[in-house]
Amino acid sequence: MQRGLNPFLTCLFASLIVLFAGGPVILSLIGSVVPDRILLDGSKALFSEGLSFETYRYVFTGQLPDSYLAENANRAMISDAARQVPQSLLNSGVIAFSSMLLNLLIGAPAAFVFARYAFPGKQLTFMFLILSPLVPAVALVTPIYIMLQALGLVGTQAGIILVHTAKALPFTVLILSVFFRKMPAEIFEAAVLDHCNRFQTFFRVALPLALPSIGATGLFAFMLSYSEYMFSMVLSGDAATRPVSVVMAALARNTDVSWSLLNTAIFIAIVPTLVLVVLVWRFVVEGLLSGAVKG
Amino acid sequence: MASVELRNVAKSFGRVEAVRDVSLVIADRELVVFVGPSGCGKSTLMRMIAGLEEITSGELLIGGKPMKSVAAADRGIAMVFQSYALYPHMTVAENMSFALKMMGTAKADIDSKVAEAAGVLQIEDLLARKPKELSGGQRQRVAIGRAIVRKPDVFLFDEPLSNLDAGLRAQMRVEIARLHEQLRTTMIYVTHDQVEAMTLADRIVVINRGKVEQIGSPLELYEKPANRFVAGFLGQPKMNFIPAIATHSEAGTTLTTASSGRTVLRLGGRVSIADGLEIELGVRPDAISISGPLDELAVPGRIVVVEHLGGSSLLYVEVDGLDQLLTVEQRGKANFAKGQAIHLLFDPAQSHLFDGAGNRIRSGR
Repeated sequence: MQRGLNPFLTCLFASLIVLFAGGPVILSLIGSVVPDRILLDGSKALFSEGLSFETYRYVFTGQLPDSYLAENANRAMISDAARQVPQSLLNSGVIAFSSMLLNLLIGAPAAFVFARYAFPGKQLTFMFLILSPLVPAVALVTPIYIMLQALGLVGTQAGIILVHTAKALPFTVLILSVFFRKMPAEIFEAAVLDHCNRFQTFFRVALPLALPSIGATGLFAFMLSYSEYMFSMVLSGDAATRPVSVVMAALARNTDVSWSLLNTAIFIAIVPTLVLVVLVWRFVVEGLLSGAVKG
Repeated sequence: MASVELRNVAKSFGRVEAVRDVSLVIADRELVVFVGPSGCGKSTLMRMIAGLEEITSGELLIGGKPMKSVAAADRGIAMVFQSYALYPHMTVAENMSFALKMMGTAKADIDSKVAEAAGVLQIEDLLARKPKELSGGQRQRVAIGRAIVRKPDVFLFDEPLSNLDAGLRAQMRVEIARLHEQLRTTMIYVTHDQVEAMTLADRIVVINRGKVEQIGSPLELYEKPANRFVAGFLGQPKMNFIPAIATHSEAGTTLTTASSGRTVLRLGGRVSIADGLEIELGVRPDAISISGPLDELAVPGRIVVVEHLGGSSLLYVEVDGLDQLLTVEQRGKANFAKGQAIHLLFDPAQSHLFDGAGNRIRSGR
């Protein structure tokens, strides 16, 4: 029996949460469709000139906003970096997706073995895996750079993918092993009696049952890679390999930057994650809930 | 079709001895029930037979062949788990055919076997459903169906009915008995429910603290329990135990209660126990009758609680000098009231004597 909730309080807190989480997104959306001269002029109403998509046009086609074509306009405010956003989105997509795929390919079987089987050194390796994220990333930048340089992977997407995979792997293994451990042991014993070897037990029984949690961890790995900055910056080369986090940083570092343009870039960078969350997260939550209720 | 033989089988988890030195021969086509309180090692014993648990020491033979290096899947056994352990992502038909598919059986062959098993269990109309769309009883049938499909030499049931409600449990119990008739396969059945054990078993193995207490047919165990544990574990309601002292004379043995010295039983012949030593007298609730106060052996008492079960009544009687209430079962619609004073008479033919260590001295006259 659920207790009745005060609808007013519920609404209030829900609004606060939406405002806290969604506020910045909405701000950047508004900022991106209002030209600079209005954004920076306190005396004019925000939408007094209607919506303007000039900055979006610039990002995708390179055509300068009309106001910057006028004489004496400070064209330095229009950063070239903004033109790299579409390519960097693609780069980030490739990197994050590959890192997610590798994470699941390596992490899911590893998590299963950690959760279900005893083997020598299990505790030690698991501890090592779980504690490894505690090492500060800054301390690892140089050694990893040297290693990747030796492999000839500096300035390539493959290098970034490898590092991102390694960074997310401890979380993937930890989260998935918890899920695998929660599954009733008898199902796996039944599989053993049904002539399944370990691989078959994993692929035919464990994996289908873990799909929702695998979706969730996959999304997590994707996000981790998508938003990672330090290694991306150090390891990426020219614009062709640069992920979106690096481009965004370059854009924001410019103190004179057009606010409208910056907001445009920010909003474009947020969109893929929003889409992913809406598409994947709902499926994941439904899966988790139905599993929890039906047992 | 196969026999199962255990030779001095033991299992320890670290320092904990879960199963100690169990030797047992289960004949082909026999239905043997392992029964005991929870944590007694009965499930571990079954899991060792299944190959899910390694045997620490001793030998296991199925069909006369040692199983030491035989994988669980190749032992010719099928197991029905307590939680059913159906694969939630597969339909009933897929659940039942999974093992055959893994063994590489031909599709047509699989279909006919699944259909046959579904027919036996009357679940033909459920084949396309997922486990979560089934009721507890239906899931149980599917779990049994999954075992039948494989045509195993030995069926293992691990507390299969404990998740069902009482009515369904009684029904499934009958069905399992029927199934055993029909399939004529060796079956090993683990339960903590002594009613299931008594009703299903050809032979019962009573296990306590990892050790076999007694092996025998249900009636054998009921009438001649080897020790106090078996006597107390089997039978519902439970046997009454009364501390007593035996005195020998020409005519036989007289038992007096240890607390009050009242004579409660006379047995013919000599009981092999020293005079004056404290022993325990075990009497089942249905072996106690109500007598008039004039009977020399009548024990006076007072009814504390009456439970009317319809066809019979259970009386819980307080007797001077006994810590525990005596349970008395009375057939028919007798009229008893709380607080009523009555006299009890123990039936010597259905009495059991246990020595200080709990071992049986004798049962009956």
